[in-house]
Amino acid sequence: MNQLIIDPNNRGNPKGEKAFAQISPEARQFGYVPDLEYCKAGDLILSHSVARDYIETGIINTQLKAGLAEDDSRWTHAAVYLYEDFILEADPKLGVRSRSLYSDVPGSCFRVRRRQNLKEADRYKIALCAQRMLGMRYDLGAALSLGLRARVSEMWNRYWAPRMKKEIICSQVFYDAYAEITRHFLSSCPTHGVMPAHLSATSDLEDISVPWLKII
Amino acid sequence: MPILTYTSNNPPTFRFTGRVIRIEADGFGIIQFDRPIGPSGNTMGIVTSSSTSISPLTSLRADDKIEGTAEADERDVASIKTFEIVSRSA
Repeated sequence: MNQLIIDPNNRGNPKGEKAFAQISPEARQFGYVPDLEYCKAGDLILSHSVARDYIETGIINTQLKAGLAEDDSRWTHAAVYLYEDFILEADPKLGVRSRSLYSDVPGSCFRVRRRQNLKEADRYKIALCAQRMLGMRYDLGAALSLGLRARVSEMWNRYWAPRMKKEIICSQVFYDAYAEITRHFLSSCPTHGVMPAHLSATSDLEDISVPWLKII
Repeated sequence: MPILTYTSNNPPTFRFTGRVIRIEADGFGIIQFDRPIGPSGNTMGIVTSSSTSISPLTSLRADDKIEGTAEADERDVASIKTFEIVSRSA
């Protein structure tokens, strides 16, 4: 499957220019951002860092060991697109939050994935359903992780395990919200333990081409 | 006074027995049916706090055996409407 990657180091020709009253200093210095007008509520946002750290390497290795392809395993983070430049995600320190996707520019590569032929109302329902699920599950998951951290002091448990748990919770929530609203299971995904690479691999979602904008 | 006729577009409902394979903190769960149900032979159903009157974090646990009714149509997954627990997981 040909992946449509939104890569800050391979921007192609910017589609246009846009003025931003407020945007992260890093994005402003970089000078370009993805044109998120191409996104719709409930879209899946996959991402990975341009310069991968040891935590991402751990997530990639876990996905590879689960038998997922290298092209899919490089995606280490899943989030749900809400509106304008806001995405919904779980953060190991801050809990569930919505934040600007532009704060990851130019440090991350992205992919926007979408199920075609969904009603507009169902797309919003998927986003809202994910928000509800993530809120309830991540609070519980974070509490469990804290308990684990208190008992075991190895670095793997303190830093890496909560991050992997977060990525599974985010990916699982997208899968579950999609199932609840559409009553279809995404193909190529397990019913339990969905990871970002599964959401990259499923053929039920299509990649959306998102061009870059020049910041003026 | 005109006679009002009400129609329902809800999918047909079927009885099922099955096993809880996953249940989440928000009440979302996946049920594996013992036998396929409905026009497209659904083998799985989902239970959610929005489709049933159960409250999340109560009653169901993974591996519980349950029976009840579920709506099933051409979609992949049936929607559990009512259930009762037949036997608890060990």
